[in-house]
Amino acid sequence: MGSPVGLVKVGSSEEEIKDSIGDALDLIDFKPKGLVKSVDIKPNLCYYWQSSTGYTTDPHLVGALIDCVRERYGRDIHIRVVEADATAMKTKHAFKMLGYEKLAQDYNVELTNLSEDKNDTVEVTAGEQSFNLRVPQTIQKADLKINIPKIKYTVENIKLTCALKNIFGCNPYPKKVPIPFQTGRSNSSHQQSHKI
Amino acid sequence: MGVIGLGHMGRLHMMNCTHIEGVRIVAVADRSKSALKKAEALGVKNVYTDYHDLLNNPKELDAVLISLPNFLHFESIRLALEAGLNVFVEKPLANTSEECRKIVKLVDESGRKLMVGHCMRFVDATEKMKAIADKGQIGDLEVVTLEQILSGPFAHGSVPAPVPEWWFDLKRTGVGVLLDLGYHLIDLFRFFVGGDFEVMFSCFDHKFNLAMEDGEV
Repeated sequence: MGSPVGLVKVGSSEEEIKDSIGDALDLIDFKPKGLVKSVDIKPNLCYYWQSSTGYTTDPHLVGALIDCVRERYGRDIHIRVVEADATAMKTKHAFKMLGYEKLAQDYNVELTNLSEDKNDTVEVTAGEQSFNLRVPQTIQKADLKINIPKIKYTVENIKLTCALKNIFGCNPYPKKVPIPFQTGRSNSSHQQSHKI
Repeated sequence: MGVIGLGHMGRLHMMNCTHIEGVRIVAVADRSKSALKKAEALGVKNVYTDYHDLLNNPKELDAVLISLPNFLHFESIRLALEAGLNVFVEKPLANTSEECRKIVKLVDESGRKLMVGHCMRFVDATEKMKAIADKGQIGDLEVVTLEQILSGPFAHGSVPAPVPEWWFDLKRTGVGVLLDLGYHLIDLFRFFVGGDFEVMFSCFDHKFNLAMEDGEV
């Protein structure tokens, strides 16, 4: 059986968004493995495009998610919003320009640039090929990792990208393109990132 | 001619120069070695990673085209004039009014020519409108409205391109959209109306949460 998916219609206010996230988690009977004391949230901040363009995760959604997470797992849990530099984007600018510095201040959460984080090399195998992925330690240590992707049609070979590609954005090296677009490995490298 | 700065506009100017009769690019300067290699492939003989070196070797040069980041305009113009060269500089002329006034004085003292890239004056539609206005065919200008909406350094369509760090530093950009886009509008206003004018009201927006403005009225 595949992973369960909950689909919920969402209102526009942050209260409605928060309730909808909770409803979606209840639909799939989501239970974290073990005690949750730290949470990492990975939005999609691919470039300095405001969320109204559809390209980046809306900080209001993240704010509602933070409220939901605190209601479920405790007010004192440590929450980080994480992102890594990309080929044309620097996380420090994206956090500021796309409203995440304000979010961090309003919701008392930490912002972490994964490209500045210590990382470990992990060897993964996809089919008959092995390759190494750098995995930030911050991500590894979090009790709960929440991925907030944007569904996009951007890559010709792959057509639609969403959660797997956003997780691949945790790769701390800005130039991520060479890894997924080698023939026959694009889906595999994303899948291995997800497993890690 | 020498071209200083081979970013987007510098490369465009260099390519355009290759199509202008009587112009020969003999030297270029840029920190990027790959940009210099491309210039060499176009037949440019003298390439420099530091524009100071280009200006210290002005023998074959009549003029330089300066397409550097805003905060380098004043210094590079000053050195180019001191080297006895005519100058074309991409807008803005400089980052501050004070620097602009100093440049005007330097130009007068040097006897050289300087032109700023007020390219919007040379757009076909602008030239036609100016001709019509100059003939008096639209009467006296009572109200002039100019508007430009662009994404500035973040305008890359669907494929993002890196933005140089200096764009995020107010000390280096001078100001934001006022100098980036507003500059052309102010120039066009002067082109059509002429004379000096006084700013009665202005308002800046900071939608992108940066120190420099990204919107202006």
